[in-house]
Amino acid sequence: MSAPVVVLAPEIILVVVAATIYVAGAFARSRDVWVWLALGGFLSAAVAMVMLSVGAVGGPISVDGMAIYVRWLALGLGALLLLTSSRPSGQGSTPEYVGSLLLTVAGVMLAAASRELVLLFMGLELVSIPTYILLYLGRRDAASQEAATKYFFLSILASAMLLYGFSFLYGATGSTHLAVIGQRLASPEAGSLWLARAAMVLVLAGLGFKIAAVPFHFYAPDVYQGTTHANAALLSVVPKLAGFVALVRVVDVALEGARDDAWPIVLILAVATMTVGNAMALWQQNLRRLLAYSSIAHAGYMLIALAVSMATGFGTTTAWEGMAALWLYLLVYAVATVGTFAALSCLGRGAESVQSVEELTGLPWTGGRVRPVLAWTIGLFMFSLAGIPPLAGFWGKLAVFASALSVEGPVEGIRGWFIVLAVVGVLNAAVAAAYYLRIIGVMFFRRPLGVPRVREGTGGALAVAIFSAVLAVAIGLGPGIWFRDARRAAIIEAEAPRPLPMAAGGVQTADAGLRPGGEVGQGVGFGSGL
Amino acid sequence: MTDPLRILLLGALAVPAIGAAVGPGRREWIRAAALVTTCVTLALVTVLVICFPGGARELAVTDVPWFGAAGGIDIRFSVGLDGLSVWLVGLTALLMVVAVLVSWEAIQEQASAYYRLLLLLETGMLGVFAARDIILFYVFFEFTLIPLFFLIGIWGSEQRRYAAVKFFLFTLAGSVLTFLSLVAIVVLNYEATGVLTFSIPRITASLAAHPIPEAAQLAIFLGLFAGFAIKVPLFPLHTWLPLAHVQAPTAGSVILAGVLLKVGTYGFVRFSLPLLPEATAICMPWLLWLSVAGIIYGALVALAQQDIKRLIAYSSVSHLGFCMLGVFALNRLGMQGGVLQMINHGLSTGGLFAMVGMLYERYHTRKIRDLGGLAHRTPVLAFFFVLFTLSSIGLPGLNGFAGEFLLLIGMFQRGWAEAGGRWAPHYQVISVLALTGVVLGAWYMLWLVQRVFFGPLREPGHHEDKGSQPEQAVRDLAAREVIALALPSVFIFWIGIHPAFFLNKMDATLSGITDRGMAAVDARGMAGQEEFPQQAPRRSIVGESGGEAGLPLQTTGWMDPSGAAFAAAGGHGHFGRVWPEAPSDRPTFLATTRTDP
Amino acid sequence: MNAEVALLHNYLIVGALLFGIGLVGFLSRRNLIVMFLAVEMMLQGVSLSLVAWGRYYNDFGGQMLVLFIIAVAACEAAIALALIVMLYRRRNSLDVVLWHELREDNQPPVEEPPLSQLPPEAKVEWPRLVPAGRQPEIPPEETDYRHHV
Repeated sequence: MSAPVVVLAPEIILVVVAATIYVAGAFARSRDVWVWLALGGFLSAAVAMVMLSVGAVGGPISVDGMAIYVRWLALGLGALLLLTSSRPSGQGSTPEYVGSLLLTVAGVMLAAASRELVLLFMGLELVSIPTYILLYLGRRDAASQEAATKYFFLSILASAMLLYGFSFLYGATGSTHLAVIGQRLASPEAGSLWLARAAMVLVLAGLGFKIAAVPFHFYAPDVYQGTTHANAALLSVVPKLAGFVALVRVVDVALEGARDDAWPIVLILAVATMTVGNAMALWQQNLRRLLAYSSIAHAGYMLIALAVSMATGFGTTTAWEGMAALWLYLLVYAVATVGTFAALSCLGRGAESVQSVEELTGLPWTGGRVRPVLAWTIGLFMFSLAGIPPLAGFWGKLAVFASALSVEGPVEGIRGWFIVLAVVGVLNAAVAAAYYLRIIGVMFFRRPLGVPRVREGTGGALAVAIFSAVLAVAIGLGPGIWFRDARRAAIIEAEAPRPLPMAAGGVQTADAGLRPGGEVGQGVGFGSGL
Repeated sequence: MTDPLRILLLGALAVPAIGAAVGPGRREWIRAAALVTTCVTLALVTVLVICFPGGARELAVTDVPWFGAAGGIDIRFSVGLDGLSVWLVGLTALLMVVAVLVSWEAIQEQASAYYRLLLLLETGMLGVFAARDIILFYVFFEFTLIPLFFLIGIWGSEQRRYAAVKFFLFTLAGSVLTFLSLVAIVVLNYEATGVLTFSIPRITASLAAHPIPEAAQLAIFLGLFAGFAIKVPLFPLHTWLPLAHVQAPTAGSVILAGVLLKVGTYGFVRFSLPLLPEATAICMPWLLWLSVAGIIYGALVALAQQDIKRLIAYSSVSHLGFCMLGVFALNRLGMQGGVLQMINHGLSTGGLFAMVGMLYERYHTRKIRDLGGLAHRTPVLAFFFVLFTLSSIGLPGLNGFAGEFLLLIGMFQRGWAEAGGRWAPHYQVISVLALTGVVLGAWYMLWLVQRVFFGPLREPGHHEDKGSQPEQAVRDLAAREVIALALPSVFIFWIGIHPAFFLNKMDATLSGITDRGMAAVDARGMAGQEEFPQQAPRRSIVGESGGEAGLPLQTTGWMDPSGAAFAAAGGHGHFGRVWPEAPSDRPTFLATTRTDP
Repeated sequence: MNAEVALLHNYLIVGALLFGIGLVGFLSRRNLIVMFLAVEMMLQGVSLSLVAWGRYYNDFGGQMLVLFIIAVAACEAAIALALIVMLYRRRNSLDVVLWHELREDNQPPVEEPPLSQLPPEAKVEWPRLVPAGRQPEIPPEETDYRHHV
């Protein structure tokens, strides 16, 4: 009983701190206390992560390379987001906000570590439910409420689809353990993969919502526009992180048997997501709306990497490269996006934060000490998102496109598809540069129209912006260690669990774990008859 | 192997970056600091150029892992100079001093940011030419866009925003495909040899042994073409250039014309020719047609211009057409001429743009019809303008002649003396059309000089000082401006009078690059030649075996007085010599790094 | 093919029907509460399938998932109701079509015909919770029938 629970110590710490803040928040409304306490929570979770270098557990929880990478990433991003939201609502709901943020991070970490459908579902919901609250707490005007509602309703719809997909997975194999599912689907007795295909489509739909992939992206621009910069930062990275981790675990590894059907779908999703995101972003005037489309487009680039790792089959070198590219891309994207939103949240006219691109006009030349810094950091993030070397974003694009070009699979003509995908991808990158440059052009090439105010109490956000800028340059100039970490993140534990002596007491009965394949085949045969 | 030189090159790369990082805030100080920085860089580069021994060896090579073993990818920070890049690095360092000097008074606002960006740009450009790693090359290649984007967009003239964005997007749209092609080369090389390397010399060597299949070569070539041809710019892709040139501040124009356009031709020479020889051979006729179209088109459009800066911008289109023509004639003469012409164009057009800026500072106009007879007002400026014009149109004795002459000889050789197969008539027409371009070039440039500097005095009503009377004379060039123009002038004369100094140092490298392309062209030429089996596969019109092809040129001695001695000493590819017969004699790019003369 | 499989068939068909009806309901209804209930119906369909599969395989995994689904659905219901009450306060209607403030620039909102429903009731003052730790103000008339407050 002990090992799995200990492995989850960081998540448990975060949840306990969050619960403490929720409860104690009713008695002390001072903002700073809760922010510091939450930072302490992140710190102790990090300490727990360092101390727990436990190897494979074998049960429903796995601390493979991917889990470790994503958990660290979630912790880091959580701390950045906490500082970014240094003025969460202005109406005294800091403890609720901070607590929900901690829970969200705990959810991502849980999803990253889980190899089992129940736990994965719990992790994903632990991301979603606090996010609804965060969206509601961000601001209290009609737009914010509309945003929260839209996100909530579409999110639960996506959850239902995802769960239906899970039920098919379970039905096809009779196990909720992803490794067992993968093993049984890959075994020759699996017969028809009809149920697995249906599961794949439903899971892609459900998780496509989380990563804002076209055609499940419709909520993103509206929700980003309606909420605060800090919430938009959260929405653009945290659900993507959880969504991609789940996609890798379920679609890439467990559903490997159906990958010949999966990769073309993901490839088409990637092309559609990139193209729609970039094309729509060209027209936007609202900053958050523009960045929402930008985040949609970036999901498309990450889907390229996912398609690469699917097409070549789990375990091959190219698949490994694709996976590493995905994680590197997610990192560089997250740094630049969170930094941008943090910098933007420092600026405002009156109580409102900046809304339209035009409000940034002439920002570097408006004097003061903070505004030029903000302008140059935003410019830097825009170049990084556009993928211009030597900034971080370039290395993400390099990794993604290099992996796409090295696809050489068993299927005839697969290489041609991926070359087309890469060409579409780089042309999209050139299109994307147009709207990133527009922001830079508006800021740098025009005389100031009016002076946007630097809002009170945004020191944390400013620090996040500067830190992210430094990180973007550091990754750009010394990408070696980040490549290394991303490669380690591509190490995924896919073996079925050893028959544990204590399995009888766990979720999984020994009976289910050792069930022979014949009966499974019967179940699948049923599915194909349906 | 040559440690001090290595430090010099690293220093030349680092000094501008350091200058950009620590530059002071006030205008008077930052411009002085920028001048000192660029001069120090120029001094370092000068030493490198002087120490460059010629021959095929690379100089000042630094090759350290960039990603580290941890990264798992062997992308390296690898810089060095060979016979091709050493001159372009020199040109960059020289023009940067000019750029700082012409910005001295012109830039009043945000001077600190301006000079910092200028210095960053210098690091980027030096890096492009010095890089020996494909990814490092691309990093510098793209990085140069950022400072120039800001330079045009913030300190340019009226349409600067549109010009900056168009410049950036045009270039980026092409270079992303270039990026894909570069990665594809690495991937294909990896699959062929099992060695994952990004090093340009190593890939060049291993692709010589394991060439990429022809279809893939063609696709990759088109990708490279997209980026480099936009950068050059080759004829139908040139539309960003006049706009960017006209809207950019003077220093931006100088650098854009002088250095950044060369990045495109440099890319062709560095990547397309040695790595994709078969595809280059297939595309050669088309590229030559595009080049000559650019020559004629640029010249004709330049004839119709009313704005001096626009005129010179279109003359750049024409001149870069000459460079491409020389490079894609795919023989040694053409290649030498093309590369020499790259440097010549940088010097003369850079100088012309600088002088347009000086004129603009004095008269606040660039319209040809507003100006006239300025030789009376500003004789020194007029002297330099005439000098650079003559250099640009290729007056014998000045640098333009050496380059254009060589590359035209190369093109004629391609047309008449070498196996062209069914394309031979095309090559002949192209050669003749290119000659027409020379005449047109002389026409529009001399006409410009005549209208602006000679004839009755005509000045616009207002001068730089608003209160002054129209008849009050404007100042002639200040000492600072004279220095800015004298620097390139020295080389205009030097290259014109003694081109062998330059050619000798680049010759071995260029031969190594050209030989593979030539072999591929020959293979194709032979394939299309079956109906003319009696024709010799390749003949040189220049002094081969007692002038078998006629036209034994005595000028070779002028080009290379020490030719015989050089050849006897084992140097390769003096262009008056017969090529070495055995392919193993031809120095490949890699072999050049290893052999010790 | 035996009774077990036939039973599984039946449950799966009902589950799929529930899921499908819920999906159609979510997409076609305009009332916020009904939309939420439609999603709940989808979740019930999922749960039913999972339980059926679990019985078929004689495995607890599916049932475990169902238990968690129920817990999460309860959680979502709480949030949904809070959200819906908030929305109702602002618009005095549960019609989802009224919420079209966020959309693309220069695009008109989607116009839907108004629902034929009862005339809107007069604005009601809803009871509000006071922040924790404070003494609530109790209207005097409440003490008449709620002696313990």
